[in-house]
Amino acid sequence: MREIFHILPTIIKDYVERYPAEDRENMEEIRLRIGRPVEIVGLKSKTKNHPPIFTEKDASQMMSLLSQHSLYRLEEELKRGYITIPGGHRVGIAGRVVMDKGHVKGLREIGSYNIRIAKEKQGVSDDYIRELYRRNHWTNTLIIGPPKTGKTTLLRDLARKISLGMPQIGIPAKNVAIVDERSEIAGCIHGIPQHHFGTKVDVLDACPKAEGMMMMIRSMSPDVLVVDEIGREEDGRAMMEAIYAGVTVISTVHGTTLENVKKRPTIKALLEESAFETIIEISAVGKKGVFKYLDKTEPGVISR
Amino acid sequence: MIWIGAIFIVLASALIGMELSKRLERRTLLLRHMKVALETFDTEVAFAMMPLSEALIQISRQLPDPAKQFLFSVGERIGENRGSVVEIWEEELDLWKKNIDLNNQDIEVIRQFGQTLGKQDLEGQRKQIQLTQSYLTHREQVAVDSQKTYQSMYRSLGFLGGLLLVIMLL
Repeated sequence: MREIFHILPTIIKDYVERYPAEDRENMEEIRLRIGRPVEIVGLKSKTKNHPPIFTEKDASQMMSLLSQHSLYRLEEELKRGYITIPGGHRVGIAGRVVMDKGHVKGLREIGSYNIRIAKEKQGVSDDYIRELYRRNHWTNTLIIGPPKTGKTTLLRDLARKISLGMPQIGIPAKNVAIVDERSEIAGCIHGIPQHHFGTKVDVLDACPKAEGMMMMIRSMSPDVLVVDEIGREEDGRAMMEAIYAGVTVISTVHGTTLENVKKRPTIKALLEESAFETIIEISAVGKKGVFKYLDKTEPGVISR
Repeated sequence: MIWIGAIFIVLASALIGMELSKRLERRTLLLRHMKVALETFDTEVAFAMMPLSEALIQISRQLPDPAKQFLFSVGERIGENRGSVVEIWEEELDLWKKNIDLNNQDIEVIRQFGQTLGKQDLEGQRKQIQLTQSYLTHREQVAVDSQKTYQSMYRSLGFLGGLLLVIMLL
C-alpha cells in the first residue's frame, strides 16, 4: 500500500489515508477519472468519506509520479495500457489512442486510471502443496476458476513455494521458470520481479506464452514451468512439448469446472493427451479469498 | 607618486576591459556546454531509458561549472519528488541566471526546454531535444559573432580608456 501512496496526487492520497488501516487492507481498486469523484472498490466498512474530484492537474501530477517525471521511459507501457509499479501493483490507463500503420502505438491524453492493488497472500498455497507434490515430484497441474477468484495469486504463491522448497517436509527447492505474458504473476519492472519469490525463479516478462515456454525450456532448463491462462492452440502445443521434455507445467485457465473447460478445444486436446495429473477447481464462495478445493479427496483425477 | 597613481588607473581600466571580454568568452563556452549536455541527455533518454533525475545528475558529472551546478541541483530536486519538473526547472533557472553570462534570449531557450521536459513520449522528447539543440546552435553562433566583434574592442578600449583618463588628469 505504501508504494501506491507514492504515486497518488496529494489530495487523493489524503482521502485514501482517511480510511482506517483495516479498510485500506480490503481495497482492491482505486479508480480515477478526470472530472469525476474518486472511486474505491472493495471497501467494506460503513465509513463514508466524501470523495474528492480527480482534476486535470491531479492527472498530470499522477502521470509525473508514475513515470518518475520521465514519460519517455513508458513507451512500452503506454502501448500495453498498463504500468506496473513497485510492489507489483498495476495501474491501468485509458485515453486517446495513437495509431501507427494500423497498430496501437500508444496512449496520449490519459483520462482514466485504475490502480489495481496487488495482494501478495503468502501462504495461500499451503493447503495444496501435499496434493501437488506426489511421488517425489511436482505434478502437472491445471487450476480452473472464474476471473477474480485468486488463480494468479495461488499460482504466484506456488511458484514461490516450489522455488524455496520445503526442507522440513522433504521437498527440495526446484528451478522455476515463469512465462509472464501479462506481467501479472511476477509484476516485473525492467525485468525485476516485484513480488517475492525464492532464489530459483527466472521470469520471462511480457512474452507470448507459447514462444516463451519454448524459450525457457531451451535457455533456462527449468524443473517447473509456470504459465497463466492458457487458451490458444499454440499454448497447448507448447505445453505438450514442455511435458514431453520432462518439465512440470503448472497453469491456469478461466472456467468454473472441469466439465466446463473441456469444451475448449485446447484444453480438450490436452486432457486427451493426459497432460495433467492434478486439476484444481476454485470458485469464489461468498467472500473473496475462500477457495473450494473440489478434487482434494481424489488426487490425480486424470493420471497417467 | 603621480606615476604610480597613473599606472593604477591604467591597470584597473585594462582589467575592466579584460573582464568584459572574458564574459563574452564564457557565454560562448557555456552555450557549448549546454549543447553537449543535451546531446548526452538524448543518449540517456533514447538508449539508457534513465529516469530524468538520474540522467540529469549523470550528465552534470561530465560537465564543468556552471552548467554542472544547474543540472545537478535540478536533478537532485526532481529526485526528491517535490513539485513538478516545470516548477523546479524555472526556480533553479531563476537562481542560476544571476551568476552566469547568458543573456535573456539564451536563458529563454533553456527555459522553453524545461516546459516539456519529461512530459512527452520518447519520440516527442527527442524532437524537443533536437529543437532546443538547433536553437542553442543559433545562440552559440550569435555569441561567437559578438565575441569576434567586441572581444578585442573591449580589451583595447579598457587599456586606452585608462590611458585617456590619465592624460586628462595629468
